[in-house]
Amino acid sequence: MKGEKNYLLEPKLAWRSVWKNRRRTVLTLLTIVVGCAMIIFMNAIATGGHEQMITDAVEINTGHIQIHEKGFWENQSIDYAFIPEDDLLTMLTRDERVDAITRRVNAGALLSFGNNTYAAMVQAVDPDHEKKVTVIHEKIVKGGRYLNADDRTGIVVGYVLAKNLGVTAGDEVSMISQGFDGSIAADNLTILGLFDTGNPELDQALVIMPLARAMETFTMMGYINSIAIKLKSVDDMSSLRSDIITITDPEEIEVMGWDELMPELVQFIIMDDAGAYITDFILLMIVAFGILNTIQMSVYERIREFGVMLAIGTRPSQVRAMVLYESLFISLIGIALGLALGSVLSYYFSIHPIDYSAYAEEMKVWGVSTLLFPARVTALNLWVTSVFILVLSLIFSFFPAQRASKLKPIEAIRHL
Amino acid sequence: MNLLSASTKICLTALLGCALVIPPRAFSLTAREIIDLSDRAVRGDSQIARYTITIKTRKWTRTMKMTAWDMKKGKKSFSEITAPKKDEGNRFLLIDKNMWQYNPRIQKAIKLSPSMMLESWMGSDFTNDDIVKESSIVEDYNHTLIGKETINGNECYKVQLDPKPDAAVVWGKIIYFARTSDYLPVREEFYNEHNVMKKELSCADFKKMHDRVIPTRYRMETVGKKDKFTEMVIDEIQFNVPISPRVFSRQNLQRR
Repeated sequence: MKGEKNYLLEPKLAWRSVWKNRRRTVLTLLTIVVGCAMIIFMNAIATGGHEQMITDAVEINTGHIQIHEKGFWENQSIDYAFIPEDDLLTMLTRDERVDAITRRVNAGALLSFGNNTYAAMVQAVDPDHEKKVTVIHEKIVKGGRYLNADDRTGIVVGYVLAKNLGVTAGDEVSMISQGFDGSIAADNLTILGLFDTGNPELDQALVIMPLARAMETFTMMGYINSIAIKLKSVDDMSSLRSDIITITDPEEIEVMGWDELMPELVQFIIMDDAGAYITDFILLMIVAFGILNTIQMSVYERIREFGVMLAIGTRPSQVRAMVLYESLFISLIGIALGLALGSVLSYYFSIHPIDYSAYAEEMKVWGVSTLLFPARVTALNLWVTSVFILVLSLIFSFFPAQRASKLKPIEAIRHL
Repeated sequence: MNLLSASTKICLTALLGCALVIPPRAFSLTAREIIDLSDRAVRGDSQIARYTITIKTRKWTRTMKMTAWDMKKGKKSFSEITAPKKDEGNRFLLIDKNMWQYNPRIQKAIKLSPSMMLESWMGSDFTNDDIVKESSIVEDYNHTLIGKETINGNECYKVQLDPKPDAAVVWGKIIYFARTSDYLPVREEFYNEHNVMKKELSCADFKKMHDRVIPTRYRMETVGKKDKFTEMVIDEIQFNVPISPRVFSRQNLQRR
């Protein structure tokens, strides 16, 4: 037939073939829908779970971002201190992404009670600000309390440190350290309470004391060691960090995000993601092979039909196109339904996170304090999954399509 | 064909043998003896001294004055900071392996565990161990004389000290330079267990103090950290004076 090309010929024929064998098409769709939904859901749990882990880790003591004098984090010494510039403080108080900030003095010290002396990390804070950034005040062991704004020499210590020293709430301990000016810094402090954060590093060494007192005892002369920032959303960390770096001198000040402050968390997430990618791959393969199987069968059953078509003048490329269109339609329908199902499932679990509370003890072994795992679907998740399924199914379908186009009409017509 | 006759060979062998058996005079002392003499030259069985210590770090430079009493028997040491006003009254007591620090502000003495002996003393380049001279370079090490070297115009014996297997010392190796004339130390190089030099002590300003000549300026530097050093200058020292045992007591440590 000469004249205008009918571009809808192959798609229309393909569409008809798809629905000719309804049962097979539906079964194939099931494979794709379930496979796609599972991939979406699994990635959503991973994304949501990781976010929750970051939030939980960050809120214990680190904050999302910290600002120090350059070299502080590496050397962990009171020597590295700074006075925050006005424009920095203004920017932080005004920025929409910032939830709260707190200022700290950090020093290594010796804590002594009777004949016991232990090394400790002293962190001096302003209780009212600190409570808005971290949650140690919610982890006080029964029988004690957190610092109040008017406590002058009251401290809270990790419960493991307390056990080592042999102290409990109400005891007075002595602290000896070195001040910012190199002089000997010493003080008698009273324990107000013990905390249990689940993080062994903190529980066995952290001591929280009032900032006002520390400024005096350690002769800080107005300097502080760090600013910790809590953000409203985990996602804002990178952008805020860049913004802060822009207004501070990189020779003098270091700005660190939680990924630099807790690299082990980053490692864990990478490892976890790697596991998820493997499972994703397996699911994709199952879906792709499912499609391959269907298209293969569909082609086989219609060998005579293709033979006739080729005999009457259909070009091989048209035959191949037809088969590919079939695969395309099935995939698209499957993906659409799969995305919908996956999203609904994930939505349910974002409202009702997976709860591991009953296994809290076992979770501690992994060093993960997160017990609730919500799901969170991202646009990226949906796009990538769709594209992968589509591309894979088209690639896999190429082989039967090609074989169909290469049929010899006379042999094909004679086929059973 | 033999170039040398039998008799010539015998003579030569005999001469060579003599040379080996009769040692040259310069090496008549063993390495251990050199170290022992050096140690005794700067320390007595007891001593009372006043020091001026300057600590320079990245951020600050501090000068402190200290008085110290040492008794070799029983490994006892008592020191007190006398200046500046801020640190005045801080006292340190060491008896064998136990150390206490008293602070006048909190009016309490804190006991430091033996592991803290290796921590920096007051942020300086000296460790607590260095200050109280706990380890004995004579008893805890094996000594090998490895040559001679001239440092700042002083000809010195160069002795290598390797820790004995059961000695509780932190260094993997020490190279000790002692003046050949009077065995006074001129330099000590401290190496870790991977044979990397970590610290260097230089001794200068040789002066007569009390009954002997000693180096009066000790400077400890950490390798790789050019902007840090700690310098200890002996303002006055007396050797082998009797010291009442009451000095080395907790009561003396905590007196008001």
